[in-house]
Amino acid sequence: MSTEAKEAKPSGGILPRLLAAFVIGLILGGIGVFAVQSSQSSAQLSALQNKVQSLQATVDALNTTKVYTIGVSFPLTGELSDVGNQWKTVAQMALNDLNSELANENVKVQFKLVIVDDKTQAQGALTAVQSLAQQGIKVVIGPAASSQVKAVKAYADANKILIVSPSSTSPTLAIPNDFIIRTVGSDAVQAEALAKLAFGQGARNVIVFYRDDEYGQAFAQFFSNVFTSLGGKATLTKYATGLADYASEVAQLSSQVKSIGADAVVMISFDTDGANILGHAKDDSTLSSVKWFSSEGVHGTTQLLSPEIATFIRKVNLLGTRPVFKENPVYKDFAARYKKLTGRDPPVFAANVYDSIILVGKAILLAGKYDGEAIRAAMFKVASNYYGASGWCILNDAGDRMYQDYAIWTVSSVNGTYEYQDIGSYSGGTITWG
Amino acid sequence: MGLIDLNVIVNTIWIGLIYSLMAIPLTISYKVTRVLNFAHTSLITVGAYVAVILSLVYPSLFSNIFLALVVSFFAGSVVAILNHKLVYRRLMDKEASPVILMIASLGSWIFLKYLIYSIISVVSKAIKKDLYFAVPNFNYTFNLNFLGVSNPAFAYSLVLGLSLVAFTFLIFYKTSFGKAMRAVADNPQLAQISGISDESVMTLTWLLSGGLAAVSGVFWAMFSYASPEFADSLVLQVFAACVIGGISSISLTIFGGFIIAGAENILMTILYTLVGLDLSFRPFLSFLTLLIVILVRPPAGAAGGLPYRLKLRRRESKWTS
Repeated sequence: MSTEAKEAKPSGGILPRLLAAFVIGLILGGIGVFAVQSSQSSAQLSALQNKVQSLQATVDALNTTKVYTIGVSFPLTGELSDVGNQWKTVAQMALNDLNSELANENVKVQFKLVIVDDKTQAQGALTAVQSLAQQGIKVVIGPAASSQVKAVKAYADANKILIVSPSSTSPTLAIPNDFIIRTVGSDAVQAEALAKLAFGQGARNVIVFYRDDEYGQAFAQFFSNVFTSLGGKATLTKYATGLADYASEVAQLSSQVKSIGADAVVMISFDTDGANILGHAKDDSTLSSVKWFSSEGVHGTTQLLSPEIATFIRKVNLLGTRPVFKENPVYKDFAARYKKLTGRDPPVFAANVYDSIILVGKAILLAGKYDGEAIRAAMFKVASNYYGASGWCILNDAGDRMYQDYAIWTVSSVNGTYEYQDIGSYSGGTITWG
Repeated sequence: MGLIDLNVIVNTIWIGLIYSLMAIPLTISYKVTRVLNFAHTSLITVGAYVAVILSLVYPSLFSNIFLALVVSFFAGSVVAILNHKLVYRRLMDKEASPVILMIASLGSWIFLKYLIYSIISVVSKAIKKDLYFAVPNFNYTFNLNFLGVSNPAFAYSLVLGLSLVAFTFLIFYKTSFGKAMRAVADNPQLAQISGISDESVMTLTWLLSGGLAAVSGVFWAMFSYASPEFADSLVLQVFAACVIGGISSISLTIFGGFIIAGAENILMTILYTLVGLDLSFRPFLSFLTLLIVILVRPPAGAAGGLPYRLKLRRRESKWTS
């Protein structure tokens, strides 16, 4: 190395170096701070964005209409198909009314129905409820018959599917703390009403001619218990359900009336079998000479208004009982709208079907969630304050309608045509005429 | 009659005649086409409803029972022929076995049943009348007193029903068409070689069978009522009457119809009165009767019951000895 090189020293001194280092340090520090600050604000921004999205979702949810599904198991084919198909119209009317009410009040909830045919069979009802449950449905309106309700009970209780039947009346199904709710009164009271009616009309030795299913068996037994306690004699005769015709059974009934000297026949039937039985009974001289009484099953059938059967009904002075409610504006409006739509008067239990749909809808809203147990609990609360087409729908501990009155009905001639007429009522253990 | 009322006798005759009229076309169709037609009950329902609806909607014209029966006959024929052309013929062309044809007939039955339900629903709403339980609006102009029972619907059913049975025998045994049907039933290949068109005979068989089934539905609606499933409820009785007749003999099918009706009415009365048997056992009696008859007097062509097999074994041993 040369001396010149050794002797070469940087010019300017240490200060510029220090200054340079300071500036570089500042710059680097600034970059660092900026980087840190950037990441922090990015996180804040992200958090802010998330919050905004969440708020947006809430707003969207508030603006989106929530749709709940109500399952329906109706007899669209089979023995009760006439009634079942009419109920379908009633259910649609109820649904439209419910959804309209909610829309008018700006409630972002709507309901829809999924209707399944249970074929008026016990197995059909179970299949229907199972298929509805598989679709995630937690509440089912129907089935119609007590034998069907009995068939679905175990499955409904195990899977917490709420069953709301508008027409099952067998007292044997009045069980508390289950998942069966019935918006119609139990037949325990109706059987008492019918027994007091028959006894009061002078019947002392009756044959109870009943359909051999859950409904008929329980009704007949309860009737017999009350009638016997009043001092009368009741002979129970059952017939098979679902047959094409009952001429043979009516012939046996006639023989039995003759052999035991019965003074009255009490018929516990559905609509088609009851009308068929009366259609054959009218041709029998023995059966035309005794009194006849009937449950509500055959009430409303158009066949009873045909001249031949109506004449027979007048001749034997057939009187029946049926669940009824005091006529109210809600029912009158419902009946008028139904008649305008279909040209017919509402069928049996139509008002109960209507109220069942409305009750279930309101119970789902009150429950706040689509859960069988929650809806069940809500039903009792909703029903306790609900006055519908069928009147007050308050439920008892067994989930059955608590207050149920009954009407005494017959078929009368009015201005040359035959009509169903309520000629009395049964309430609080007493029959009142007029 | 102390034990059995005249009403029971009349019911037996009336119901027996209707069961026979329902079962005869099933026997004829099976005999000729070899199809065990489960859609048969749908044809009965179609016939009943055509008469009921026409008599309710056009009473001035169709309260005349003869006119209603003619239209019902043709309605039943058309449905039966369509069913054959669209379902059975196509399967037969593919050489489907009798079991496949029977299963196809089950499919036709279900399809027709729900089609009938749909039509009834629409028509019921349109005419604002209940059709799920309907009786025809016929104008009965004559009546007769039979065993003390005076019922015009029974009078018409008896006279017209017996006439139809006679008409069926006439067609089947005294006409060239009937001869052709019997030829195809006995030996389709030989019949074809002889110049008898298999398809023409089958089509005409379905025409006759479908028409008779439809008319039997009208008689049932006169006796009781029409509903979408009334004929399905009678499937046991109809098939029982056919099987008693060996699904081959028209006269034995008629015998089967009356046997089943007798069991449901007379036997039921006897058991109910003497032994106190529940009325709900009535359907069981039809089945029990069928079982007894096919064991004691087995149907021709079937495997047969025990006495038949014993007789056959005795005959065979006689030949070999």
